[in-house]
Formats: sequence, structure tokens, C-alpha cells
Amino acid sequence: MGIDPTHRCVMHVGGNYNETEQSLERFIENWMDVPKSIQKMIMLENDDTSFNLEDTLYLCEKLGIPLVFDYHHHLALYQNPRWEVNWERVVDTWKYSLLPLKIHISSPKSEEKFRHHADYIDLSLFFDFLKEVNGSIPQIDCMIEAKMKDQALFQLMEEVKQRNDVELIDGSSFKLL
Amino acid sequence: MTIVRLGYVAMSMELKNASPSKTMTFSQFQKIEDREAAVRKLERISISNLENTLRLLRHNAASSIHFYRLTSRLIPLANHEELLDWNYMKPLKALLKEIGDFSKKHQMRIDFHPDHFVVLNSHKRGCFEKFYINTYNALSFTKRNGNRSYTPVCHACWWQL
Repeated sequence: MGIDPTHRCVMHVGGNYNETEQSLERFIENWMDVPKSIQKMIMLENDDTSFNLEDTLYLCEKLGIPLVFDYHHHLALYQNPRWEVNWERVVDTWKYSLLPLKIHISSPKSEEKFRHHADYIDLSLFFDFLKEVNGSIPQIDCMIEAKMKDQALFQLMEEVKQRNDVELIDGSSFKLL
Repeated sequence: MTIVRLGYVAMSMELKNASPSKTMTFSQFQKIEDREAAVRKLERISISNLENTLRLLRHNAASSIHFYRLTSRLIPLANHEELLDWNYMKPLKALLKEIGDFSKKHQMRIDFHPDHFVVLNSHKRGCFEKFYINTYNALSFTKRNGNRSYTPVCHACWWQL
């Protein structure tokens, strides 16, 4: 494809096997066996069952891997509910990347099925997040993980357009004021 | 201040008949008696998945979307351990190049997310190697001559070719 493969592949840390610490150390051990050419492709994401933001940050900082913050996963699994105290550390994991910091955005399907992805994105939940990060970085790429795929993106943009704290750029981008 | 750019995953709810994730399981593959014919079928599915990916990218360009995640099921059974002799890159090269050229021309960020069973912190080292072979082809490497030196199979092909 003629594209630089660096930071193109998002992965979870993996299995917890009921021992978070040992599982993190095993990740580090196995990482040493992964060829450099593949190492550089990888970004890591905090998940909603085993490795929270702090666990994932530990690996990302130690091994120089960019962290893809999943806000929905964080709401389902956290050590400290206040993710924003670690935000600067997340930003720092991207300092050697040529690509803008990226995050995952999805909304809980319901109280009972909290971990499931909803069809669309909850605007106010999304802006709770954006308000905290505004100004910390020039650009943030938000990957929408919603059942309605591109339609969820279009609907979210329709709702964003109604706000007075943004400046529209085009069909999928806007600037926070 | 901060610019926010939105992207979406794998498939469009608006484009019809544009699935980039059509698949074939290994048991379906085995049921076809003529192995050559079965491989050709795998190639047809892969080509259709890549063509639909290109359609999706065109749809993105038309909708000014610059951020997209490729499906993790573009090439069924690529690097399956029973199919290591299948040079799947050959018939797909031109289309992959077209996808790369298009995304560069339109300054799109594309990436991918392997299935959750591709794990890096497995207990069993042998198992960890096997995971790579059986799962996502863009992130795979295989063990050569039974020793611990790995050969990246195609990560470079996909992105750098």
C-alpha cells in the first residue's frame, strides 16, 4: 500500500489469567520476542475486563507504545475513576508518533448491558470527555465504535452542528472552542 | 483549540452490497475437493473484500471522512497453517496498491484492530507463535526451521509494498 506501517495496529494487552501483575510482566517478556518491524506497528488499548488505564499505561511507558484510550472501557473498568489525572501521561505515549493521538469512542447499550456498544454515540458523554482534553493536544482522532458505523458518525456530526462551543471544519471534523 | 476528527469501523450502513468481510472457514475450504479450485475461491473472496474496501474509501472521501479502520477479516485463511503455500499476496498486490494510493491521495488515516484472540501475553510460548499464524495476516510471522527466529510473513507487504 506504500504506507508507513508504524502505529497502525491496535491491540489489547491480552489475557489476565487472574494475575494482573504477572500477566503484565509476561507481556514484557513476550514483547522482547516480537520482531522490531512488528513492535513498531502496535498501539495498546485499555480494556473493560482485565487491564485498566493504569495497567496499560505501565506497559506503554515502559515499552514506548502509544496508548489508545477507550473511554467506554474506562467507564466499565477503572482503578481511579478520574481518568483525566492520567491524561498527560497518555499524551506523552504519543510523543514519538507521527500520527495524531487516537482514542476509541462508544456508548453503553444500556445499564444492564453496559459493556455492549450502542447503535449511536451519546453526545453528552462524548463532550464530557472532549471538554477535559481540549487544549492538551492540537488534534485528536476519535474512532467511533458503534453498531450503526458511518451512520453513527453522520448523526453525531448533525448533533455537533447544533452546539455553540465548536467550529465546524468539514463532514467529519470540528474544532473545539 | 483542539481539532477533533471522527472515524468509523470496517463497514458502511449506507453502501449496499459492500461487505469487506466476506469469509470462508477452513472446514468450508476442506469440503471443496479440488484444492486449486478452493484456493481460487479464497482469492475471489479476498479480491471482492479489497474492492469493497476501495468503495468504502471512495464513500469516505465523498463524505469527507479521513479516518477509517480496515476490517480484520479482509483475507480469509491467509497464513492458516495448512495454507502456508498459498501466495495470497500475488493476486492482491495491485488492489492493495490502489487502496494505499487512494488513502494517501485523500490523506486518510487507516489502521486495523486484530481479533481479540491475537494476544501477546500468552502463557505458552509455542501457543503464542501459533496465534500469529492462525489469526490476522497483517501481523503474522512464522517459525522457521523449528528454531526461534521469526520471519515476518507479510506485514511489510501490506503496508510498504
